[in-house]
Amino acid sequence: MVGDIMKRIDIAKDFTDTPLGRYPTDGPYSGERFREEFLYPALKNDSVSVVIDGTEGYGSSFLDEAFGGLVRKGYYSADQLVKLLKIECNDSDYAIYRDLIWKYIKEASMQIA
Amino acid sequence: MAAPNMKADKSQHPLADTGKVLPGQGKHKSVGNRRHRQKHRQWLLRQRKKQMRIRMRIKRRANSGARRLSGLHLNAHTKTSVSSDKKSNITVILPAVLDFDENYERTASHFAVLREAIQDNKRIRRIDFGGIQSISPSAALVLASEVDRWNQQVGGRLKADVSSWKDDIKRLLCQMGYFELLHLDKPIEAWPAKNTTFLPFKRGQANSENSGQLAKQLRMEIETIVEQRIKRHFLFEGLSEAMTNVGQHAYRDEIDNSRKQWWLSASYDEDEQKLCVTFYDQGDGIPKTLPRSGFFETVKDVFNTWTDSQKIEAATQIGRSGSGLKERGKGLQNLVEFAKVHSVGKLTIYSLHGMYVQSYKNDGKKVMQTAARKDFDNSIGGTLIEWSVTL
Repeated sequence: MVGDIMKRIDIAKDFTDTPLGRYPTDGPYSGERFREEFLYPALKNDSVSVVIDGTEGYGSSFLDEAFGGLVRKGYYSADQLVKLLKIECNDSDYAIYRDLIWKYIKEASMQIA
Repeated sequence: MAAPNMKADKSQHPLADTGKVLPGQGKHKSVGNRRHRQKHRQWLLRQRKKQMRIRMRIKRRANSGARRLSGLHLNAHTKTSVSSDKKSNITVILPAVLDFDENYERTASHFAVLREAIQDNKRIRRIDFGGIQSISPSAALVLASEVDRWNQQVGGRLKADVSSWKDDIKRLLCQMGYFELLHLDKPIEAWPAKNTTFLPFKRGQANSENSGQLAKQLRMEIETIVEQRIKRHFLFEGLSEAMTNVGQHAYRDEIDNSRKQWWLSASYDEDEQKLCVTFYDQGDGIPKTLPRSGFFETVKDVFNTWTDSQKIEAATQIGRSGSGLKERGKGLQNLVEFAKVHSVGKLTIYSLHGMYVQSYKNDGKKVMQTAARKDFDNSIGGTLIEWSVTL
């Protein structure tokens, strides 16, 4: 169930300010590594807020693997993620990535359907 | 009078109305249609193969000046500018205009000779920069990559008569880091202030910890010379996907990650407020890596008749990468964003023998897009991505 204090992952501060690539073979700050070592462990039995501001930016490979991968791997359904996951951004430049994250989650759920 | 002509036309195309009822037509209309479509596809294929044969014949004629020198393949553009001494030491005289826009074939031919010499561990004695009158940022980056490879693979000291270099060229090559590459002493003269500033090129490799940091470093250097903040997240989006593509697709048969290299640079023209960012890899090229996609399965009948520029165009569209996985294929689409968000922007991709360019005009309300493509006789030896935007 959702805890009283929502867990918070600030990608720029907790992971890297230069996220890059899909798989660990693309580099140490890949979407898969973020999902497996940060996002998925934090999501277990709790809701999580992910702050996406402050990085250099995001390529679609990183976002798709990190967030869409949660659905493709069968960890969560898109509906569950709507309840558990909050994407935070205060910089309007990064709002586009918040929209892309939800787009990739939706696309992933369509792929596995 | 019209009848014989019509008959002649009918004989060329299998779908022309012959007046005959094809097997499967009538009661079994769907079967007939399928056969029609199949025949039409076969006819299209034959036509494309015919065009390819004609194109190849023209190409062979154009390359009639081809010859070999110390194992190197020379063509009409390089046969007089590449020489070899008795000990097979190679000298390459670079052409006056090194520019893929204005002088593609000659520029690419000279780089191809250098690449071949480096791959075959030939001894390059001298690369003559003295005759260069102009060099574009993209050509300068590709040349830097060749010299850099030579340094890594063969090494040594190249003979270079810096005093014969044109001042503008000397300044550009100095700013880009050529003097370090060529192990030359940096000139101490102060350069007159010029409109265009070049940033030192950076080399990275697949699966490297510092790829993202190199992109960040370039962004900070760009912001220093343009004296304003740029749309950094869009630049990083494009660069990070270009870097990811190098690791995943560009060097398919290379096991050693340290050989999966890319090069990156930027320049800024203050008068025109034009920023140019260039990224180059010496991999297999987009046209060769596209055939592994799921999309390919649906078009494989005609795919081999496509030119390289057509394949690049297809690859830039969503869902058409070389991975074959449904979730992949978004990468190349990321490249256009940095060009799209500026008032005037252009993304040019050269890969193997093809070039595809997308130009944008953005007035803040709507984005106007135009696209063009071109094919060449000589290959660029990998993939070159160039973003050109007006700040």
